[in-house]
Amino acid sequence: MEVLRMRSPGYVATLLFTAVLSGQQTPAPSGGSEIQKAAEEFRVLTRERGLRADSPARAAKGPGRRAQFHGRLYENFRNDFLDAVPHEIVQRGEGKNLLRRNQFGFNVSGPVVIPKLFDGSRTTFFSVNYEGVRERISRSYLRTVAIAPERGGDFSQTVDSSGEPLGIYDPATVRANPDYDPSKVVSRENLQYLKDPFVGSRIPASRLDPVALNSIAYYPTPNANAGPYFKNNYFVVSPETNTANGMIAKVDHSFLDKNRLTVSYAFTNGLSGTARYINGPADSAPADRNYLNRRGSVEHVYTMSPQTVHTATFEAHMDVSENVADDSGWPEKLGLTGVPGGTFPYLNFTDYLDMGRSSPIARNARNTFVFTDAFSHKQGKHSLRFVSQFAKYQINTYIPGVPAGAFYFGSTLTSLPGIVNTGQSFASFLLGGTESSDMSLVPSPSYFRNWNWVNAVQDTWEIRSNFTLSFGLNILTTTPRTEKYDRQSIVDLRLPNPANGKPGALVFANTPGYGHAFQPLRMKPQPNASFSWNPGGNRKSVLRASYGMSYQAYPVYTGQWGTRGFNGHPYYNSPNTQLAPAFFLRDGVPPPPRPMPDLTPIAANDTNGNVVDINGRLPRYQSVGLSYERELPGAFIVTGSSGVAWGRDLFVSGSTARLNAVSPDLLTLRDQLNNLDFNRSLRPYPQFLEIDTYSQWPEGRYRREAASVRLEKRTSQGLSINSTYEYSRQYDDYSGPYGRQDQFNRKNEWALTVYNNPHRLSLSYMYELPFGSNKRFFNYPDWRRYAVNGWSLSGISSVASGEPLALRAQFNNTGGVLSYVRVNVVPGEEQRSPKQGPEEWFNVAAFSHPANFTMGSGPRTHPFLRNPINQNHDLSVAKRFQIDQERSMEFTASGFNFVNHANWSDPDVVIGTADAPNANAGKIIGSRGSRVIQLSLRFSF
Amino acid sequence: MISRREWLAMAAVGAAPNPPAIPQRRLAVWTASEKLGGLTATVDGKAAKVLRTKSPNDDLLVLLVLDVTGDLTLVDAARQAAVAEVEKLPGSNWVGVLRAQDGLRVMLDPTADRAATSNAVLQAPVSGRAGLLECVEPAARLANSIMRKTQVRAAILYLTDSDISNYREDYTNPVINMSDSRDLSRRMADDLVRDKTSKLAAMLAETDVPAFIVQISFLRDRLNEAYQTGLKQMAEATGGMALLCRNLGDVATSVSQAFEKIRTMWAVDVQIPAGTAKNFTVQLGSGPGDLQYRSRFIQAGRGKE
Repeated sequence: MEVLRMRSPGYVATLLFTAVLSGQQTPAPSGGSEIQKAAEEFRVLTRERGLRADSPARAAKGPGRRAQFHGRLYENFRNDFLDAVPHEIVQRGEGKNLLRRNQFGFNVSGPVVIPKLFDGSRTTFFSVNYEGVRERISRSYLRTVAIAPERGGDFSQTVDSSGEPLGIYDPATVRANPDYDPSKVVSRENLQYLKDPFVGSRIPASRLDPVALNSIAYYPTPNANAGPYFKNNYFVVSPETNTANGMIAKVDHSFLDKNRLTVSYAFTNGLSGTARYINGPADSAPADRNYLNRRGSVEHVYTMSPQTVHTATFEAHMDVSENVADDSGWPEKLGLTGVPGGTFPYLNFTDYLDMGRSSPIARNARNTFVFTDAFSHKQGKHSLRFVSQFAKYQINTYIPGVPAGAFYFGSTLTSLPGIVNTGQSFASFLLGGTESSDMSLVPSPSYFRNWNWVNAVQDTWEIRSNFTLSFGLNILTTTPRTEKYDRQSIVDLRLPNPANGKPGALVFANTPGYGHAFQPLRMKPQPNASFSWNPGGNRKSVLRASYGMSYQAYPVYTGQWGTRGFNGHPYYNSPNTQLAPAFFLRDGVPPPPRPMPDLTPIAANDTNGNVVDINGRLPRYQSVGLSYERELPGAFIVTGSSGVAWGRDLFVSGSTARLNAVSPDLLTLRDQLNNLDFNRSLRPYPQFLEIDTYSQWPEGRYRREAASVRLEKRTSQGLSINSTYEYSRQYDDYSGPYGRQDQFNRKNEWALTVYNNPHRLSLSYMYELPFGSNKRFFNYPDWRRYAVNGWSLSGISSVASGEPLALRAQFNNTGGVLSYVRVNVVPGEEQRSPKQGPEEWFNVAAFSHPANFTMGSGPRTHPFLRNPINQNHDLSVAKRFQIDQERSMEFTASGFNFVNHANWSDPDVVIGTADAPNANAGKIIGSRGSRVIQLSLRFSF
Repeated sequence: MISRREWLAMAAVGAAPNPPAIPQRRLAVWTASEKLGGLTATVDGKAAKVLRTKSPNDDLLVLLVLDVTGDLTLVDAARQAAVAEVEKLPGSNWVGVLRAQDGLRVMLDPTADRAATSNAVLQAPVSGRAGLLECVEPAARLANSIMRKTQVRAAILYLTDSDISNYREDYTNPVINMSDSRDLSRRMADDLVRDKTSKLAAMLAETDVPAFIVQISFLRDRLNEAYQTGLKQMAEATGGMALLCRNLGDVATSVSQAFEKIRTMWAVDVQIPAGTAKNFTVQLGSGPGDLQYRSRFIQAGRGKE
C-alpha cells in the first residue's frame, strides 16, 4: 500500500476518515475529477518507482524494490539405471549400456552496479551463463572381423555371402593361360590367367607377412554371431566421452537514450572422446578431439528517429580443434618402413573392420570475422532496409591425412583373375600384398583465406491495408580461396602436361598467368519477392506467395587439399590387382617418386589431381511457395502450403563427378581394363589416377516439391499444439554414398534423393495442466495446493516414412570404370514383398546382379521401395514449486523415446550374383533405440 | 488502538497507518446490454456485496505500453493503428504512454490531449531489448495502485513485437558447449519461458487491471510458441486478452479490437467477505445475462503494492 503524500494535513485526514466511513479504500490525494486524480496518482507513483526521467536516483533502488538479479541454477542428470536397455544391445544378448551424464550450470543477469563507482541500474545489464558437461555414453556397433582360423591364414571355413566355400588363390602362382581364347569372355572355363588355390584354403605360415602378423596382435577377435555366415560377428559397446565447460557473457548498455551497445563473449573448452571400435592402438574410430571455441560480438543500435534505426555489428569466432592420437612410432613397432609418421598405419580390409585411422593427427583453427551494417527506414507505406555484411574467413589447417600410410587390401589379389566371388581381402592382407597405398607428406600447415560481401536492399510496401508486397535484391560478392603464403596449387585442365602432352598440368598461385586464387571473384544478384494478402479484407485468412533465388558462396574447408607440390601425397598402385600387389608390407613403402617441395607442372602426376572449376560456377537455388492460412473456430489456425525448390550447379563430391572416368562405352574392353596402364590410357587425363574436386565440383541438380498442412492452437489455458504433415518428393542426380554409376549420362542418374522422406508427421504440444491456484480444477486454498500447483506437460512426436532404397550389386567387376554398380530389374517380378517384414523387406528375386563389365539398369534410388518407418516420441513432465514471487524450484522428468519404441534397422540392399546370392539381401537384422530418462532440477530466482 | 486525534496528528506528518480497508476486487465486465441491472455477486459461492459499477461512459485510464524493437513495417502499422484508435476515444478516456524496452519508462503522462498522445506514440523509439516480461509486473502494480485510489476504470494495453530471444534475461536455454551436439536437454527448451510466464500469470492474478496484449510479430518456433501462449495466459489471468497478429493486415484490426474491448469495459467492485480463501472465484449474475468477466482471483500477499 502506498504511503500517503501530504497536501494539507487536515484535508488528508478528513478524506481518510470519509473514505473509511464510506467503505472506500485509500482516497485520491488531490481534488478534481477522478481521471485527473488518477493522472496525478500516475505521476506520483511513477516518480516514486523510478519510472520517469525526473525520478530521484534512490527511487530505483529504494526499500520494497524487487530483487534486480535473476537467474537459475540447474542440474540435468542421466544414468543408465533409469533407462531401458537399448534394443540393439538386448538383441546381442547383453543387458547393460553405460550412460552417465551430468550437465550443470547457472545463469545470472541483472544491472551492473559497482558500489561508489558505477551505477548502471537503469542503463547497463549483464547476463552470464555457465555450463559444464561430464558425460560417458556407450555407443554400440556391429561389425565383421576375421574369425580365429583366418587370423592364422586358414580360410577353409571362410564362405561367401551364400554360405559356399570361398576359393583363396595364391598370387605367387599367377601365369598366363596358354588356352585362353580372347574371342570369348573370361570365365572359369576360359581363364585369361591361371592361379593355383592355396591347398586346403590355408596360407602357409611362411608366406604370412610379418608386418601383417604384427598388426593382427592388435586386431579384435569375434564376440558375436549375428550372421549370416560369420558376418556381423563383432559387437562392441564403447563409451563416448564429452567433457566440456562453456560460458556466455553479455553486457547491454544504453546511453544517450537513443543508443544501445551490446557486448558478448562466449567460450567452450573441452575434450570429445569418441567411442572405440578397437580397444588399443589399432582403433579405426575417429580420433579424440580437443576443442576450443571463442565467440565475441559488439552490437551498436542507434535510433536515429522513430522511423529510422541503424545497427552495426561486429562478430568474431574462433574454433580450434586438435586430434589426439598415439604417435609413438607404431610403424617401427610393426616392422613397417618407409613412412614418415608415428601413428598406427591405416589398414583397410574391404570386408572387415579396418585398423588404424585416417587423420589421426590434425590441428585446425577457423576464424571468422563478420561486420554487418543495417539501416532500416520507414517512409510512408514503404519500409526500407539496407544491409551490408562483410565476412572474412581464416582457416589455418594442418591435416596430414595418413602420416603413417594407408594400405588397401582387396579380394582380387587372392582371387581367380576375372572370376568374382573368389579371393578374400584379409587373405590378401596376410600375404602383405596391398592393392593400393598412399601417404601424406605434409611439412607445414596451410593458411587459407577468403571473404564474402553481401549488399542488400529490401522494400516492404503496404499497397493496401490487406495487401503487402515485399521485394528485394541482394548482391553476393564472393572470393575464392587464397593462401597466406601462396602455397596452393591446382591442376589446370587447359594446360598440356609436359610428361605426355595431354591436358592437365599442375599450376601454382601467384605465378605467371595465375593470381593468388584460381577462380574469379563472382558477383551474383539474389532477388526475392513475396506478398501477403487478406482476401476480401478478411483477417482470418491470409494468402502468401514468395519467390527467391540465391547462390552459395565459395566454400573454404579445413584440410590441405589443393597444396600439391608444397605437400606430397604419393600413391602406389598395383599394375593389375588380380595379378600382383602394389608392394608387400614386409618390403616397406617405396620412397616417394619425387622429392619435396616439387613445384613443377608434373608434381601431381600419378596422383589424384586436385581440380577446381576455374570458371567459378556457383550453386544456384530457386524456390517458389504458396500458402493459405485460415483461422478456425476454437482458436485453431490451419495453414496449407505448397512449394517447389530447385537448384543447379550444386557442389558434388569426387565420387559423383568423376572427371577422369573411363567412358562406360569402353566396358566392352572387359578384362583388359584391369591393367592399370591400359586403363589409364583410356582416361581423359591419363597422367592422373583420379581427379579430386574436394566436393566442390558444380555439377549437381535437384528439385523438391512439397505440400504440407499445419494445424496450430494456442490458448490462454496454457495449451499449445502444433501439428504438421508434409508430403514431399525430392529428386537429384548426385546424392548418396556411392556417387554416380555413369558420369557421362547424368539424366540416367536422376532419381529420388537418398534422404527423401515423403511422409512426415510431427506433433508438438505444451500444456500447463489446469490444476491448482487460479486454475479450473483442484483450486485448493490449503496445503494441497503445493501438490497440485505448477504441473505442465510438453512433448514432441515425429513419424517419417523411410528413405528410398539404393540397391547395389555385390561385385564391381568393371575394371574400375564404374565406381559402383546398380542392380538390374527383373521384368514381371513384383518388387514389393507380399509379407513385408524383417525377414523379407522387399522381393529380392525382382532384382539381379548385372553381368561382368555391364552397368545395372535399375534406378539409383528405388521409386517406391523404402527403408522402414522411423518414429520417435519424447515427453517431459514438469512440476514447479513456487517458493515466493521470485523464487521457484522446478523438477522435470523427460523421457526421450518414452514409449521405448524400437525402429527397425535398414534392410541389406546388396544383391549378389545368381551363383553367389547374398543370403542377407532384403533382410533386417535388428532394431535400434531405447527410452532415455533425464531428471532435471532447477532453482530460479 | 489510537485515538482520532492521534491518528490525525500522525497523518499530518505522513506517519499514520493506512485506514482499515474493506477488501474488494474489481472485475472487468463486458455485456451486450447497455445496462448492468440487478447485478449480484458470489465469492466462492457465498453472496457478496457489489460495491459499485462503472459503465463505459465513465472515466477510463488507458496505459499504453510500447515494447517495439523489430520490424519497422509492423511497428509503424501498430503505431498508426493505435493513434487512430486513441483519436476515437471519448474525452473522458485518458491515455498514458510508456515504453517497455530496456525497462519501463514513462513517455507521456495520462492526458486527454490526443495530439500529444499521437506524438508520443509515433515518436516512440524502435530499439533496445524486448521488455514486456520485465515490465508486466510493475505496470500491473502501478495501474492497480491507481485503480485502488481512484474510481476510474483502468486498463493496460501492450503493443509488442517481442521475440523471446531478444530479452536481456536469457529464456532461450542456448547451447553453451558447442561440442554438445547430442544434448537432449534442449530438445524441449521451452520450460524456461513457461516457467516465467506462469509465474507472471500467477502474480497478475493478484491484480485487477485487465491487460491487453497485441503481439504484432507472430513467430512459429517452439520457444516463441511457448512465449505467445504465455502472453495469452498472462492476459487472461487479468481478465484481458492477448491478440496475436499473424500478418501486417492483422495489426490494425487487432489494435482496434483491443481498444474496443477496453472502451466497452464495465468495472464492477465486489466486496470480498472476510475469511475468503487465498484463491477464490467470483460469479456475477444479472438480469440480461451474457456477462463476460474474469472469475478466478488470488489474494495479494502483504506489501505487494
